[in-house]
Amino acid sequence: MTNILTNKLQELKKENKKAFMPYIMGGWNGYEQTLEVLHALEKAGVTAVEFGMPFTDPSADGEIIAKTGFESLESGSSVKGHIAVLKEFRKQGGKLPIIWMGYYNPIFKYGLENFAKEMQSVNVSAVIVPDVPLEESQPLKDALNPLDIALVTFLTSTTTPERFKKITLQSECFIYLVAFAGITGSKTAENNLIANTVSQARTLTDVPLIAGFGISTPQKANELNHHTDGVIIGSALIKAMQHAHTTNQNIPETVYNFCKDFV
Amino acid sequence: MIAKKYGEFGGTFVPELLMPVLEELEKAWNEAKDDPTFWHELSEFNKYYTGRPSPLYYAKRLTAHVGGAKIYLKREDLNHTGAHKINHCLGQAILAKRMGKTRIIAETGAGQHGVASATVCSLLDLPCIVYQGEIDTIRQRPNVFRMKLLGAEVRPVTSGSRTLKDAVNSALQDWAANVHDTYYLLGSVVGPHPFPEMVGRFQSIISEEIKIQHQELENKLPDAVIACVGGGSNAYGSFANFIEDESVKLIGVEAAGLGLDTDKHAGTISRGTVGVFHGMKSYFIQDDDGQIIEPHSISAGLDYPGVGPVHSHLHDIGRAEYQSATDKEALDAFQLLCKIEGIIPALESSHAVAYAMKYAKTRPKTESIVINLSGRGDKDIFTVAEHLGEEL
Repeated sequence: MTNILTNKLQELKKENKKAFMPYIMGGWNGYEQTLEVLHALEKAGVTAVEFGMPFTDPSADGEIIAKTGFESLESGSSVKGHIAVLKEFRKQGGKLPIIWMGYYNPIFKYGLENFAKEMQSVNVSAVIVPDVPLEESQPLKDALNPLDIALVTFLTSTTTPERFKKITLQSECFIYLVAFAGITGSKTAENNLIANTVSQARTLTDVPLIAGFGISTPQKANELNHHTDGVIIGSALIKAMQHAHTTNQNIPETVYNFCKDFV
Repeated sequence: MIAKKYGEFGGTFVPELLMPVLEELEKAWNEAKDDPTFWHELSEFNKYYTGRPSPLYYAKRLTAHVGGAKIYLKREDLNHTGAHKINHCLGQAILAKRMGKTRIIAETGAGQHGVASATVCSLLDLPCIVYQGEIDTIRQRPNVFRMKLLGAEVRPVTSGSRTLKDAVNSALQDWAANVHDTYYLLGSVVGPHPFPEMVGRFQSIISEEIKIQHQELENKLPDAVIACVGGGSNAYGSFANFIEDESVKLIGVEAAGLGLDTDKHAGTISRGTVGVFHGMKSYFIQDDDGQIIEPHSISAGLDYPGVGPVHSHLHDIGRAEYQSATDKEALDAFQLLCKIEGIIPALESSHAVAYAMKYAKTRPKTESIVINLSGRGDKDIFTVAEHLGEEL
């Protein structure tokens, strides 16, 4: 098994430690800064970074992430630009596991196999595509899996028992638990929903379970980590970065300090 | 769930959060589809509420003006609420009630689907929230007021380009957050399965009637059926019952805006490429990086960067052809129809009229073509006045 994220998550699990995987929007405020932020994340000791590719129509994202995405697109980000900055990060010795997160159309347009090859070339461990459910995932899985890249599956509070089983049994690397019904950054995660989902999933799989959506503080992360193998933070970090930007503070430093509190 | 595909097109490209509700919808739809009481209820509303069948009208003066094939107008503009949209709104609202849903959400571009949604919700006593791009709320203000009068809440969408695609995004987000009690009343043959199939089935009543009416009037099948295409609901409705009749030419007319060779058009099939967006694989107007490009059309109802998967398929297998008409051609056709037939057509439908005139001219007088006049143009008088330099 060469997938560095899968290995790392399994190790953490063995040591009974929790994963922390923040989300950043690639290309926001320019790629130079993205590169610095990637290094800051690695220095802070996060488990992996969810590296966001913006899309013109981010239907699963709340206002905060959507806005950052539009700004990133305006400053000229592209799939190629994203790959180039990851290449540079690796070249400079960055070892942090990377998860590509983005909507399907830019990947589809790039060509699934070309995209998979590019992901392999920058050692991306997993890909999250919110608008590709299990039913539509085969072509993408067929492109990614032979290169040992995982396609992350989702479990949500609405997932029916039948789907739950199908999804859990096909999951790889980790399962993304959606902590409430809705979009990113709009509500607070519901602990009991997560607890239920986790206990059901545990009977079916050993794949690590990571909660995302609606987690903004270390305290909230700790609460959820009672049940899960780790958490993903998106909107809260993006908000901190936007705040740092408008108040002329050092953004990579802000990211470092924010993440330090969670690790 | 096994999503129906139209060739390689269609599918269910939505977040996992929405999959269970789509499965629920598919199940309810499959049950309703085979239930005569469902269709009976719908046909009663169609007849006594909407006023179906809508007439197939021989446009004598337009035919003489063009000097070619006979031109018939399928008068969907005479439906209650003034467009074909009521057909799929009634069907879906009855289904929503069957499913025990207590809240309806809808998106709208021109406002025709929003008005029709608000109407059926008033009729069936369901609360209705309509998402409309902020720009569209301005260019279609009479419809915004109509929706309010009918008891709906209109939520202007201020994200993205503030038009139809953004209204769809907002409706999807609302649905994701309220899946338990909410029915998403989608306004075209687009989106994830089963919407394209369901909306298409409800709209197919248009071609069902055309077939019978044309037989009565001309004792044969029409030689061509022409309809405008945004998402493609009225066009599919006009084509559906003729797809097997290969002698009938099926022509969809897209909005060419300022011209297909400019960057201001809505020619999804004419100039778009295959992609995956809004739950479906289809043709989209997008850049090389897979980012969606905001389309342009004088008519808000055609201002959509995608098209129903069934049209992408009909195009690829060559069963239907997709042409276009510019803003200017549509405006000219709009005025002509007002002047010589006493009919104010929707700007959307004016695109079909514009291309049909060009086409009819090239065809012999023995042929007969049907234009689906999908809506009336009262809602467009402000836009038209502005383009003609008149102040209202």
